[in-house]
Amino acid sequence: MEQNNVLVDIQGLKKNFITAKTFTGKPLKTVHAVDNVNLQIYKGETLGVVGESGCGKSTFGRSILRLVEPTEGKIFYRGEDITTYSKEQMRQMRKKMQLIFQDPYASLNPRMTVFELIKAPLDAFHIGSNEEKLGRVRDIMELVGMPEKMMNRYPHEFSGGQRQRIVIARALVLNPDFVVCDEPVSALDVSVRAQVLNLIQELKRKKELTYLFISHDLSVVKYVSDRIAVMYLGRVMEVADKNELYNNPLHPYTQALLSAIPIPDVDCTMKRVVLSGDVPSPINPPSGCHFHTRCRYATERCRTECPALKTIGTGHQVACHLYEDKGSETT
Amino acid sequence: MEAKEKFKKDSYSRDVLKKFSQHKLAMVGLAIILLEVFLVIVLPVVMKLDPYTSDILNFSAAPGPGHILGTDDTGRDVFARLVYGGRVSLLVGLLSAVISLCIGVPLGLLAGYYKGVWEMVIMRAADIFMSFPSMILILVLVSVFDPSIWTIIFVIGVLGWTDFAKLIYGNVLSIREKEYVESARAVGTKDFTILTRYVIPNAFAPVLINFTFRTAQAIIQESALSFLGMGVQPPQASWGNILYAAQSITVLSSRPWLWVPAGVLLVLTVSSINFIGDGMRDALDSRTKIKK
Repeated sequence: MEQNNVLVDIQGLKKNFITAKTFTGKPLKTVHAVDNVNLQIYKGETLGVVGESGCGKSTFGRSILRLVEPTEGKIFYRGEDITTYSKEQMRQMRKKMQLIFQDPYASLNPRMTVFELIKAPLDAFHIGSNEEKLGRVRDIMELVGMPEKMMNRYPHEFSGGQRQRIVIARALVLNPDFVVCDEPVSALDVSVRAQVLNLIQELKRKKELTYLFISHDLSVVKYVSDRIAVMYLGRVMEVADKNELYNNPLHPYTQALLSAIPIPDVDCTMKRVVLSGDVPSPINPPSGCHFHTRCRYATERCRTECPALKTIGTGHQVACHLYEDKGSETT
Repeated sequence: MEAKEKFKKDSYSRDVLKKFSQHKLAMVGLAIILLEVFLVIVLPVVMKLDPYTSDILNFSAAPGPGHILGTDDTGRDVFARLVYGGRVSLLVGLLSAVISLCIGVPLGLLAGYYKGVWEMVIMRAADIFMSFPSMILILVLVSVFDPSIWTIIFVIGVLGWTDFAKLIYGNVLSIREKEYVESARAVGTKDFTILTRYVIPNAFAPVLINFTFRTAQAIIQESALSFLGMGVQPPQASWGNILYAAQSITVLSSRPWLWVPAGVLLVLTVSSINFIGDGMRDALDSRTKIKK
């Protein structure tokens, strides 16, 4: 893909949380939630991010929008470094970059009606007269499939699926270009997941959006994404086209992850790659490659040296010493 | 037209009012308090009540014509003193609770929302205030200034700020981490709007309830002060010093008209205010349903 099509370019993004301090205020324990992530998001695509819970997916998504301040690194939006932006400049950027929250039960103010909730972004930027606001709220509600008569109800009167529609409507009412979907369906009932996923897909087409789609559900990510990034303990292990990743996973972690997808066929015998042990704590992540403690190919080098993300073939990037000699290093 | 209408009616406060009006005890409490306020303002003018002049012919007279509730040991009309005392008690209760609220809520909000230095300074100050036994502090302050009704309102009010500050601080601490506050930030809402539209509405219900509780408490504190002789000074009447005047065994046993009405009114007022608080709590909870 061409460079000028990059909408969001993330370079060396890090986010540390200090969980304990010494008496003098020096950090004692640091959680490396996002650890040196380099990713490009192209205009009009859906980039899926998968990983186990606690691997830093959500923190990654939020730090791109600077809802949590990145500790280090740069984020370029249309070539402009938004990490240098002031608070007010960043606020203005919210018109372009939005977030769809994971839990529609927690992300809607219980004291506001549907109308007030969806109108809030318009209020924040003083867009339009009252009549225009009503018109825009109406339009977006129709687009997400909420009957107009629900406008004056409170969130607690709705089911999870409907609440998530409200959350989506609120995120899209400003017509953003880039939307981070932070596990938008994982809090929902299985029966409404497909509906909401289809809605998200449909809105992307209608509004020409670019998505960063975070999920731990491999089938969901496969369904919505064009490209997929696999995260493990705050680092990106592999990035590739959806089909390339599922047919030809290179990183041992990706291989294990994909082999865990159940196949609905009783006669099928799968070659499961079973990982032993738990995910190590992000407070004291393993040295070298974070995955070496659970990797069956781990060598001495993996324990000491952190592999960089390297391009193998077209658009397929992997961070693993096994493929070192086969590719060239990217930025 | 339609748009205007939608903007006009704030459906949240409408629902709250509706739910509050369906709460029977709260409505009874509110009626009693409103009636008291009304009587206390109107009666002295209409009935030309005089709480100060002694009726020389009737010391400690039992209730009868002329003196509905009798007279006290200096011949003053008990009913008149009760009404004037009600003015003082209600005024002290409401005003000092308002003062506490006005100091405590903004400080608690700042401490909880911005944290950092604000939190450090305000909450430690609250700790210091709370570590003094308030009654003794009030006694000292009242004797340093003058035991007039305004000093009492001021002192009880200022010393009551910690309740509100701690309460709203604790609420704001949990609310600022809620996803809906983050979502407000994500759509570009400014700090001030986040505070007024997201944080305060969700943190305020317990504050309102505490306001009623605080009012009741201030009325009792004033009575206690007057009972100790450090409150409202005679000849000015308050329910507290009416009770103070009735300390002797003979009065308690043989002249109940001197203290029973004041005591009953105190209990009635304080519990009415608490019922209003209960009603508010139910009305402000968006999960309770409006009865059809």
